[in-house]
Amino acid sequence: MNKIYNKQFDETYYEETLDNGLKVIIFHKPDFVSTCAAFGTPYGALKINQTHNGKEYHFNPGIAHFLEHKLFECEEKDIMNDFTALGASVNAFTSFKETVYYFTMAGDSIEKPLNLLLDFVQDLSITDKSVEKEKGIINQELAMYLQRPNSRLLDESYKSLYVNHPLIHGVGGDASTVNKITKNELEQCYKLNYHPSNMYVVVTTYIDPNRIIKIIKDNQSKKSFVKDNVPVTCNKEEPKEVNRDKYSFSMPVNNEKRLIGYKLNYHFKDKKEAYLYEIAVRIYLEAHFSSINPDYQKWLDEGLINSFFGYEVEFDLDYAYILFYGECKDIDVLKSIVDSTLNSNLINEQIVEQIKRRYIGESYVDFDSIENMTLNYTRDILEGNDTFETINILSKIDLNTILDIFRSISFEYSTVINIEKE
Amino acid sequence: MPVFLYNKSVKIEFNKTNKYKYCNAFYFFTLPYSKKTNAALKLLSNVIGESSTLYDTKEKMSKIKDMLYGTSVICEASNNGDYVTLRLNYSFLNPKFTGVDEIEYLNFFKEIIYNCLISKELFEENKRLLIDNIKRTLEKPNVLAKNKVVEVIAKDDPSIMSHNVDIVCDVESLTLKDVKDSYDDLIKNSDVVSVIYGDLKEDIIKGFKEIKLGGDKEYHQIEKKGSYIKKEKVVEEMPFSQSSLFILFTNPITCFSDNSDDWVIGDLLLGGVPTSLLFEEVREKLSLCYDISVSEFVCHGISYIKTNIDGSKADIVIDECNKQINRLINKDYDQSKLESTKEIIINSLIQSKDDFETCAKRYYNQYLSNRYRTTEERIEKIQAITMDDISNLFKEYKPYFIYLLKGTKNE
Repeated sequence: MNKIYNKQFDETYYEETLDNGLKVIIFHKPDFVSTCAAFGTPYGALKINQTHNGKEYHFNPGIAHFLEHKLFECEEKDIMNDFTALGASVNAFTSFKETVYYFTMAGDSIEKPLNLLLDFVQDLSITDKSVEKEKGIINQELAMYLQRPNSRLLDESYKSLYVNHPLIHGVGGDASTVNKITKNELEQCYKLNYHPSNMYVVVTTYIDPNRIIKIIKDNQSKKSFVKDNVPVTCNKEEPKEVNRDKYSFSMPVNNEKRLIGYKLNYHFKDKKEAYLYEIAVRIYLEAHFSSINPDYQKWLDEGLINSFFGYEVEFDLDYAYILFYGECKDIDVLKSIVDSTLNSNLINEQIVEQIKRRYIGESYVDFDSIENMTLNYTRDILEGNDTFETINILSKIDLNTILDIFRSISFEYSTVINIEKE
Repeated sequence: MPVFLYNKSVKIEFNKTNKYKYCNAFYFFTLPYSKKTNAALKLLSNVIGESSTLYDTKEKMSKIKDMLYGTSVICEASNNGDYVTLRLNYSFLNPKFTGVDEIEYLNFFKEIIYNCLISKELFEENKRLLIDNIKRTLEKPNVLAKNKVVEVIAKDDPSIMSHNVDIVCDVESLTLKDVKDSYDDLIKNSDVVSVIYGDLKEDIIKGFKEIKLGGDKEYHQIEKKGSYIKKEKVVEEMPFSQSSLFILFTNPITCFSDNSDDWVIGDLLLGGVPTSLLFEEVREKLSLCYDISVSEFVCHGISYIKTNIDGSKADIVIDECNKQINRLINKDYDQSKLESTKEIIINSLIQSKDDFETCAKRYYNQYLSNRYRTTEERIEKIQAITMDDISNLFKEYKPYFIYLLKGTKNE
């Protein structure tokens, strides 16, 4: 194992890539009493169109999330029960970019739960009947999100901004796409995207890392995986224009909600570049649309905004957007705040230093929680980000870079969303 | 020097170093409950740490917190019908990572706690923001449904209204004087418990210890039970895409009872862990829901099953829930289920030793209920729970009422 000490965070971790390609990272935290182990694949909801060895695959939206549900099923044993009997809490999540399975536990008896995690994620055992049964559960889950105003606001903004991009389907798809998913499709998708060479195990523990890596190696050495190429995502080309300029709908809300979204058309060479753009834009927006801007108090005093007001930014390899939202009386109020502030150039070196200090301070928070640290590091690494490297980028960014990046953005393509009172 | 300090009656110090990167000071301020105090403390929880004599604008306050590497002050007010608690969490990155002189962290804390600025403008602004926040919370169907459930219980037990989220009227009737008086009460007369956590140096610990807050009174919670009379099913309609179902039961146990751990384990076995009967039968076998769980009004001896479902299938879900309770009464389940439920709680109790916030809350709850138990004592008690204990527990469950917030929207 390769031992690494990060001085800035005072963290020691170990890395090793096994013979089958599985990457293992172990954070050693000797003063804690808990362990968290995560096993993840960079397969999330955005990879519904893939090519592999010259063949194209088009999966139904929501398949990554469906797979997550089905992996907990095994004919011979009850996985949830087995974890519980071992005193471990098991869980999983699917996002746009990854699916992660994990457990937390206290005590030294790590062999059984760690083997159980590795075994159940590496064995899909489903029947037509069990796939049909799961649809009822997933559709109830999707119905639950559908009635949450914030979640609807975000979902509808993706549908307005994008024409082809899989963001429009959300993480779980919808009832019509979920109902189309079959056993064969799940098996095909699993085979393509759960190969160990594509996956990571991240463990944070007080237990000796040599013991942990031995358990993982022994487990993997008993299994055989055919060497294979990693599938490539092949989404349809996305036009520059938005899908809908305006979309309004009603819900039983007490305060109407408004959103303005900007579709930014970028293709970055790597994640590092995308992250640099994202952090630059975040710092710029924070300087203009938070309490750092003296006008923020004026907007509050005049009742133009309340604590719901905010923004969201995302820059990834093949998509980028900025969203502004608020509970304003009408969309023009939000529009006028955004338009009048966006290019007001309130940022200076002192403000950049101020915001950077906050972000740097916040980046230490996760390291005090075994679970948060494991899951956030796993997410980062599956998305192609190096947690420690991103903090270096943040530390080094300066005012000129921020301004150059912000000035390069075109705000030509936008959309508005309104949630009206039902 | 690393410290874990309970200030009031217990003091523990241990010698582990470098465990945490953050230092946390928790202050629990307790005052007797009244609607006015409750609303005032909710409002104050948005003001304390946001404005002070020295940092009298949002801009200045943001700047000082940011320059101290994201130092945060998070306040939250809650109540149990007898008392209102304002919990303040002052959190800052260990100075060894920032190079900031640690005395600055102590001075900033003293400034925000002793010199909170409550101007007329801030009062009006925060009143409006709080009302908007309450209204936003009530947009969530399950919060709205739970609030409706509380209103029904209140017919038998008015003290349950402390769980009512909709306090818009109480906030609207607040005056600036009410809020200023409550702040004075908080600083001078409340019962204050503090828990300080982190790898701090001796002089900064001394500084925190010397901060004098609150008065001499000690407030401890008491059992609160009403005369609960069985009611007809209540059904209301709203344009949601899903229905929220609540099935309520009363029982003689509260969090003050000797066998309160039986209650905790029993409800978890019924619907609190992924291996629970409701999760396995209603979700996994019948696919009737995604989430189903059991919660309690702990001081009142009320348990409730809550789930989000297709409203047309409510009767099937209700029947299935009753079947599962009967299984627990008749011991018609594998003992390993009980053992694994116990195991998961025992492990979560041990794991919480790594979580300073849980430790702090647990200590305060023990102080408030005047019932101190170590993790080891609790584990021993949980290990001794048998299937007979669970059967006896559920024999005492009396159906109270069913509430269905029926969604009428078909998306």
